[in-house]
Amino acid sequence: MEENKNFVNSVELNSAEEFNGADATGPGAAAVEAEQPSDGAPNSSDTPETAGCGASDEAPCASSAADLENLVSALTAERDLLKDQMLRLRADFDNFRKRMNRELEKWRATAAQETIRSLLPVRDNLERALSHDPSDGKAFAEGIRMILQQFDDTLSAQGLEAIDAEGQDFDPNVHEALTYAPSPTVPSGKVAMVYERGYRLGDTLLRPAKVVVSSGPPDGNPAPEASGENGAVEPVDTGAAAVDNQAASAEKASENVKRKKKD
Amino acid sequence: MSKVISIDLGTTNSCVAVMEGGEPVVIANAEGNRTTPSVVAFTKDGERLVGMVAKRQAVTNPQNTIFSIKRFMGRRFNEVGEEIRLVPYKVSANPSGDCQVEVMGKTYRPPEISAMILQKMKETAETYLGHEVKQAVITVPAYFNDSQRQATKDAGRIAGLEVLRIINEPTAAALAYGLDKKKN
Repeated sequence: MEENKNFVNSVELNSAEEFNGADATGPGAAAVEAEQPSDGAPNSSDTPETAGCGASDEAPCASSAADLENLVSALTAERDLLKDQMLRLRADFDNFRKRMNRELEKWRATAAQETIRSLLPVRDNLERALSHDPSDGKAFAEGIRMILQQFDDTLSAQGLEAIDAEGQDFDPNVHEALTYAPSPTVPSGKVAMVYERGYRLGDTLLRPAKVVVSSGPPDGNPAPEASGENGAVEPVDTGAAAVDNQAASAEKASENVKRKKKD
Repeated sequence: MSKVISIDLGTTNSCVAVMEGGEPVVIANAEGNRTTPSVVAFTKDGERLVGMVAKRQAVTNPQNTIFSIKRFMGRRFNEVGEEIRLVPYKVSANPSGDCQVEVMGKTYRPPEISAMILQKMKETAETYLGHEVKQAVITVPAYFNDSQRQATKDAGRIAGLEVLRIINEPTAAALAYGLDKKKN
């Protein structure tokens, strides 16, 4: 970490002049060679020799050692340049990331501001309601109901949508099953009761609806609506229904479901 | 060059991260959560659910909702008598004596179930990165034996991931803390 910080500082200090240099040497290897004359005298004179040596195949390379040396120094220079660029890029990226995080933080704060401002009138109205005499319960309740309406309107203006649950097919994408219980009126697999309403904000599920899912009619007491569906299963159940405790009936209910699934 | 992802394949929750600029970044899934329940469910409509969605319907479908599959990874059927009593789904022995789960008349080996979770983690990472992911490292508890590690590797392979390394969970924690970079 410390190393990084030092580096960032040094980049900031000499970024202006270094940047010019980096621009000049930008294109890469070719630029490195072009830069070499300034590094030392031998480099510049030997570059053409390397080409000559490669061309005359039969003649042994007299200056091969010098060539290699040149190659090494050329590669070293290139490596240094790339290393420098890489470190600079990394520092840039680090700075960028920090800036993004700061920005994101700021964004979050502003987003909350906007939402909270839109909720303030609701708070004001609640305060006003409390300053009134609540002895007239009816009028008071009416007032509170109006504030709730205002609250709902404000939230839906922010893009909040309530999730349909009661009586719908159970859908784990938007519903969370708290329990699975028999219901005399609601057919199996549908939502029998909503404990907590679910909400969607735009495309994202803010909170799933917490629901009780019906496992069909309780044993031995089939609901009229579902009788057609369960008619075939019922005789089997009554035959087995000697025990009348809840656990047993729940187990049977799930057996029903299993049987239905197999069918 | 496609990135290597790292997956914490947990008993109850799983998590996926990727290195960005030298630091691990945890990737949030489609629902916006940084961890995904390690739950796989098979609905009566023949649909396969993984993660939070599977967990939400667990009470309505206990026999076909597989959780804590990690307890059965790479274990022989005769080793897991204790664990079987803790789960509502059916665990049996396959012909070679390893564990398998039975769901709606089909059998699955634990690595196959784990692979479904890994696949979900892979998709999460791919959505975030915007390209296909082929390689991963996966963590396992330090006490996992060879067979359990192998089962984890198999799960990765089934999910279409080349498992570059199996990392012990405490080691991963130490790496995340930066123990490898501290000089003293």
